[in-house]
Amino acid sequence: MTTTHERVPILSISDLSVDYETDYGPFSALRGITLDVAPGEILGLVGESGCGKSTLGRSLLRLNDEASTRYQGSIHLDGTEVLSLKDTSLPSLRGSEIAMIFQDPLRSLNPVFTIGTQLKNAISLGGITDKRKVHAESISLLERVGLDDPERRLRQYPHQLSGGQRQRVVIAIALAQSPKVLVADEPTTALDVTTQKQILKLLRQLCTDTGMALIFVTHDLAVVWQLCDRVAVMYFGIVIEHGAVEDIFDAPVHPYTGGLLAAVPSLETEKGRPLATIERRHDGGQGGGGWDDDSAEFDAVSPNHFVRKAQTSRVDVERSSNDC
Amino acid sequence: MTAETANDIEPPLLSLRSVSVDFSPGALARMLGASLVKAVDEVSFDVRAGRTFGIVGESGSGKSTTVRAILGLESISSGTVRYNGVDMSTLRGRRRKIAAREMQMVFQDPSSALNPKLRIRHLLAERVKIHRSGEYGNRTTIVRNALDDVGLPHTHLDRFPHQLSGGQQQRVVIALALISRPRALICDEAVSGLDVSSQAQVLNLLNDLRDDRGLTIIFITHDMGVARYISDDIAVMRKGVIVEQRPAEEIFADPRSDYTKTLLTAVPTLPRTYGFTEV
Ligand SMILES: Nc1ncnc2c1ncn2[C@@H]1O[C@H](COP(=O)(O)OP(=O)(O)OP(=O)(O)O)[C@@H](O)[C@H]1O
Ligand SMILES: Nc1ncnc2c1ncn2[C@@H]1O[C@H](COP(=O)(O)OP(=O)(O)OP(=O)(O)O)[C@@H](O)[C@H]1O
Ligand SMILES: [Mg+2]
Ligand SMILES: [Mg+2]
Repeated sequence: MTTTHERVPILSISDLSVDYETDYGPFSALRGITLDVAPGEILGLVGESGCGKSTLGRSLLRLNDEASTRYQGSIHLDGTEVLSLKDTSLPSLRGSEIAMIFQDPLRSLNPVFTIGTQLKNAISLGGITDKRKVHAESISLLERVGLDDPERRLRQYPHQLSGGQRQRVVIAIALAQSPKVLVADEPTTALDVTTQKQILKLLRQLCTDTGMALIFVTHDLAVVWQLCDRVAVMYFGIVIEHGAVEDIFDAPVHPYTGGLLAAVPSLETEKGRPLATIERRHDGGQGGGGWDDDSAEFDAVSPNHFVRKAQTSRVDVERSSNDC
Repeated sequence: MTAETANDIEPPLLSLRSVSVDFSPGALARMLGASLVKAVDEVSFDVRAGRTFGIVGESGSGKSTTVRAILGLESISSGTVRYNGVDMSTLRGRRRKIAAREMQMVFQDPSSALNPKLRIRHLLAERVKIHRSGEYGNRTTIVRNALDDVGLPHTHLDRFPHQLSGGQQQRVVIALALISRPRALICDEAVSGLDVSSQAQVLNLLNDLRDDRGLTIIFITHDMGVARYISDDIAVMRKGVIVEQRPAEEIFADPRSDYTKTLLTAVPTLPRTYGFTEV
């Protein structure tokens, strides 16, 4: 793992806030996000459903609906300020600079084209033009993501694949353009644990070999532990704790992080006893979690471990719905 | 345990016997030499009322196809599916409709299950109208309770599906299914996109419904911890066949098939266990 002083981030997010316009006024989905990722590094993004993980991922490619989304702050990617790019420059950003694997694989696949057409298109965009080479590359990519019978898969349509097979096709398409930064939004939710293991290994290997930086959104903390170098824990639109995975998993400081870790069901969890949930305030739908201050100030627990200042008391983390 | 003895005589609520589903390749693919794909190959299992049947297995092993076949969404090439003792293929008209209402499915892709043009409020109210028309006057309460059950704030009622996060959409789909008051609920990776806490809330809810209302559940998941926790019995699938089928505790304590053993060793784990009190 790279040490702190020699890290030169390829992506720096600073003080990013994102609001969605709705019929009922603006909804604050992200506030004061400051994070960065260095080449070859894997950053895990975890947090409650609805806390803004996908919004953050989409923002990095400016993929939120522009008409109803307001950005503030800065996203610096490989020398470019993403938030001030003209619309016409966005296509050249997406794909080779930064690619995204969407949470919903159906959304990224076009139902009327075969897997082959869509994958080969991505490979050509990545710069390979020779037809035979494109074909060979498409077969190799499908094999690397563990799809059986790749020749047949190329001729199939998305609806002819299982959920996990589609998810792996989407991963193959994202990798086809060798992006410098890859945002993977819950990319293994439909994969059995052995296939997942193979995909995680592939992603890790790509980061090590090609220097690809990876932002990995997941709700599976065991996967974070296994795959990621660093992790950011989000809660109602803000980051509450971030740093090296070893440090945070060794001694989580924010009660929400601790609660998340404690609530993971394991193979030893007692059956018939209700699972622990984390009690939290409702945000009344206004977003931003009703945080009083927008300041993104963090206390350094260690040189590799940061926790948000003075907000700890705002989350009531307890083992609710349980008999202890 | 009188219920146990009663169950032994009663027919299972759902019963599959040697069910196979084949997909024939398209004309062009056939010309290129492709053969029939056996997605589900002679699958048999019983699910008794008020029990939870877990299905785990390799991606592409036929889990979704099996449950789609139960609901008649894929045509069965051979074998029978019995619901409440009756062969599903003989059900017609009103009786078929009733069975379709009594068995609700939560699909793997939440966005495809939600009409993008309708607000959440409308989607849920529509379901009350169709499946609980007698209570339509109470729809506001029913809809709100359904959201509470899955842990979504009422403010999301005015949203369109695309304005919700992935896990929020997933929970709307679960709420929709539960509004129909099904006897059997089929969940295909229904909690796979949820954080541990939201997931726990849904799993606790399903367990309560099973215990209180005798809900019968078929639960497909790739999460072995979840499968073990929620299921009474588990089937492990690979390449269209069930390689092992036993009570959940036994499968985890003493896996027999090599594939199950491989699966169990691949389960990712945390470095240690964490308690709520130590933070
Ligand atoms: N309409 C179809 N035409 C052809 N083949 C299909 C069709 N639907 C599914 N298949 C194939 O049948 C097999 C089983 O698919 P199924 O969706 O049941 O798998 P699964 O166990 O649910 O996998 P996952 O965990 O990835 O969702 C796969 O190999 C898939 O490619
Ligand atoms: N287009 C939109 N308009 C209004 N609100 C939105 C829109 N998209 C998302 N939201 C809201 O913004 C918040 C963050 O959504 P986001 O999809 O980023 O969450 P997430 O962390 O990815 O959650 P999940 O784990 O469930 O996928 C949610 O409360 C969601 O309801
Ligand atoms: Mg998301
Ligand atoms: Mg499936």
